[in-house]
Amino acid sequence: MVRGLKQELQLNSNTDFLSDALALFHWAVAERRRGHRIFSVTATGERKELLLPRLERVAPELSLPRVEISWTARELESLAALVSREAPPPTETLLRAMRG
Amino acid sequence: MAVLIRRLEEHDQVELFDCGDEPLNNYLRRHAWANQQKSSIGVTYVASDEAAPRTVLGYFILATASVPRDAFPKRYIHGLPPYDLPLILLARLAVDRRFSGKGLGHALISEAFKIALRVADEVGCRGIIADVYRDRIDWYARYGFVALKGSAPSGPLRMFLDMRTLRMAVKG
Repeated sequence: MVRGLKQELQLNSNTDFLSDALALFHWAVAERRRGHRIFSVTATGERKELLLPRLERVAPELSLPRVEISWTARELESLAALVSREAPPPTETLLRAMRG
Repeated sequence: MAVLIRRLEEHDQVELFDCGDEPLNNYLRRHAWANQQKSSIGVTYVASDEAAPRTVLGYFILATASVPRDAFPKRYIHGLPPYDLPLILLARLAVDRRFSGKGLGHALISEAFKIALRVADEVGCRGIIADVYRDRIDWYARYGFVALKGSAPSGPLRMFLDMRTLRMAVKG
């Protein structure tokens, strides 16, 4: 794979290859760390997202801080009742939100 | 207007943000950046226009929380998973009033849902909770948030959206 890529990119040395590969990876990590997602876009506008599990580890949305919340006894009872029963179906507005 | 939603950055223009609610304005102007970077209290996501990408038009804040299993009333414990209940807190959501009525609130909460789903996929989460101003209850209810009983009679009302409902919405 390395040989093929070097040929395609017309890179003669492994140093250049590694340098370019690292620059690309460094950029991807920095973008993902800022919460940006990385896409390729075709001429017709079709988008494909770059998803690498290792890259996702630096994504801010997956490292949300943890906070303590105070609850009343009745709120906890109400929450327990909701999570114990079958979940309600999505509303039309929620469906629209998830389609966009 | 092409809206971008991304994490708050240090040089974003927040000083002129005005949603009509001083605590929400003040939080963005004075505390959001510090809380995100230093205190790890919450991550602020902002909406901006591609044409003026540093001007904040709206924002929301996410954090995680959990309820210890033994905090629930005993009669419910058997029906619950054998571990603490992980949740995502949608702490604040506000839109600058100069841009209200343009669907920014919808765009912001949609993005919050998508992030919540990804968090749930990676680290687990049972639902989203939000402490909602009384005059905004109907707006949240339209997305399926359900009011929890037992909130103080005045002040925000705690509402819950089940992650299973969100997953159903993704499947259509």
